[in-house]
Amino acid sequence: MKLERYESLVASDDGLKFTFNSIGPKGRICKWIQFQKMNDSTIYYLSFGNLLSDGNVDHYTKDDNKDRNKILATVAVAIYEFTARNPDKLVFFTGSTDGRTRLYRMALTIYFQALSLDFDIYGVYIMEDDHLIEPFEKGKDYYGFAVKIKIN
Amino acid sequence: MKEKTKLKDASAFGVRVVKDKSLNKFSNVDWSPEKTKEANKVVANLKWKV
Repeated sequence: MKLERYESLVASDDGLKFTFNSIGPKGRICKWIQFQKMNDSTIYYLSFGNLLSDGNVDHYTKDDNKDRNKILATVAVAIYEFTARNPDKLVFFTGSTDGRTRLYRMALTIYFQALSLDFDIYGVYIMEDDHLIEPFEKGKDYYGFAVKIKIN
Repeated sequence: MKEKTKLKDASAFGVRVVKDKSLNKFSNVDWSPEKTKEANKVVANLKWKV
């Protein structure tokens, strides 16, 4: 999988927080990635957004910095980095908007073959009051997604 | 004895990971409490489809 990525990630000591700079026509935008432990400690929630100058994170702004695929590929690298150190954890993620969830689904669909060599990939959907998880199926609408590194 | 497989990390993609203690100050910050609450609710009730 030959993809363009940002070449460096800045990480916190605990390896749960990462930043990198998106660089494009809109300038330099600091991106924030966080793996947050859920109440079920085998699951980490991946959140992503723009780190603002006041220290807050904006999960909603559409930057249009013309580097969407490069950003997604860099977030994927952060998932590899996290799962290499936490191979028993399931990483759950969903978009902050329906559009972003569709974008993640599209990326998983396009790179499914390559990603599935390294990860078990799941789709999460809601049916009545149940939250169901199943192996990811292309073309299906999901609420969110989960990945777990394959240990050979 | 079977050798333990090294899992791919950022270096496998030529991406450098630089530790920066300034990020540690964010250790306990929940940037999106509503979304986290929602995620917790979802993952707490996950059922494997059989």
